[in-house]
Amino acid sequence: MKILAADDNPIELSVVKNLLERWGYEVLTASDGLRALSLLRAPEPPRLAILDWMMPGINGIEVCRQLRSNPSCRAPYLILLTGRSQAKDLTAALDAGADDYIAKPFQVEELRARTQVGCRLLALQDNYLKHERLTGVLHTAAAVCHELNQPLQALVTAAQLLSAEITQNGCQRELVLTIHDSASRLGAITRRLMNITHAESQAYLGRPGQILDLHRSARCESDRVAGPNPAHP
Amino acid sequence: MNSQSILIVDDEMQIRVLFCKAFRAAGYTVHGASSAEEALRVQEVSPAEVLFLDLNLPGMNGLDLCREIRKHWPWSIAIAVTGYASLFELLDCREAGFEDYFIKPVGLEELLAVAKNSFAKIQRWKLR
Repeated sequence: MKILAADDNPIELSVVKNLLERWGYEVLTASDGLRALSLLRAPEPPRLAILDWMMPGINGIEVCRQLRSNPSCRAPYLILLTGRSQAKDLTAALDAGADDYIAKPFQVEELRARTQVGCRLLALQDNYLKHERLTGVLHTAAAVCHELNQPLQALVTAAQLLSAEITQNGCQRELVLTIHDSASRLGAITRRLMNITHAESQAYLGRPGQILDLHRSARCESDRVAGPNPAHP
Repeated sequence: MNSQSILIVDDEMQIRVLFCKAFRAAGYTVHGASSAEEALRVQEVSPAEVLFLDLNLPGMNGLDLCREIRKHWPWSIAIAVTGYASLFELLDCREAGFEDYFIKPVGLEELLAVAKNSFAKIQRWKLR
C-alpha cells in the first residue's frame, strides 16, 4: 500500500518514512501541506496519509478539510501527527476530517498499530465498494435479461406460427426454423444469466428499488464506473 | 372455434397479438388485454377460464391481477408468463394462485399443452 508522510521537519519525516518502509509500505513524502494536498489529489494517490499538524503553507488540519470538502472524492485515510494533546485539539482534528490522531512524541508501536487499523478499514471499504459494484452489474444484467426475453418471445412465437403456415419442406421452412432455434438459444443464454443474478422479485414487481428500468440502470452503472472525477478515484 | 375461452394479458403488443393468433389457430376463443385493469374489464364481459398473465404490467401487476381473478372467478386457471425469473418470484406466484409459471421465451407447444391440460382440469372439477 502507498502511504504519504508529510512533515516539515526533515528528521521526523525521515523517521516516519523509514519505519513505514520497514513495515513494507511504499512511501511518498511531502515537506509542506500544499505538496501533500497535490500528491493526495494526483492520479492513483496514496490511500493513507500521515500528516503533521503544523506545516508551512497549509497545515495538516487544512489538508484534511480540503480533502473532505469534496464528498464525491474518495479521500484517503488520514492520520494527524501532532504535539498538541488536549481534548479540544483531538476534536478539531476529527471535525476537520482526520480519521485518527497520534500525539507526539509517538511510540513506534502505536504508529505501526494505527497505520494497520487504517489499512484494515481501507480493505473493508474496498470490499464494500466491490460488492456494491457487483450488485449493480448483476441488477443491470437481470434487467437486460428481461428486456431481451420480451423480443425473444415474439421471435420464437412468430417463427413457430410461420413454420406452421409453410407446409412444404424447403428453404423457407429451413430459414424459419433457423430463426426459431437461434432465438431459443438466446433464450437459454438469458436463462443462464438470470441464474447468476440475484435481483429480487419484490423490486421487479414495482416495489421499492426497481430493477426493471434498463435505461436508468445502465445510466447509474455508467455513472458509477466513470465516477464524478476520474482524477480522484 | 370452441367455447373454451382464453385471456392473454401482456403489455407487449407483439407478444399479445402473436399469442392470440396462436391460440385462435388452435381453436380457442381468445381475448387480449394490455393491462390488468383492461383484463378485469374484459373478464366482466366475457370471462375466460384460462388466463396467461405477464407479471410486469403497467399499473396493477400480474400477481395482484391473479389474486383478483381468483377471488372473482374461482374456477379460472391463471398461468404466469414472465421475462424475468427468480426463486422469490416463483414463490410469490404460488402464493398469488398461479397454476403454472413460464419464463419467456417459451415455445407455443408448451403453452398449448398447458392450456389443454387446464381446460381438462376445469372440466373434471365441474363434473364432480
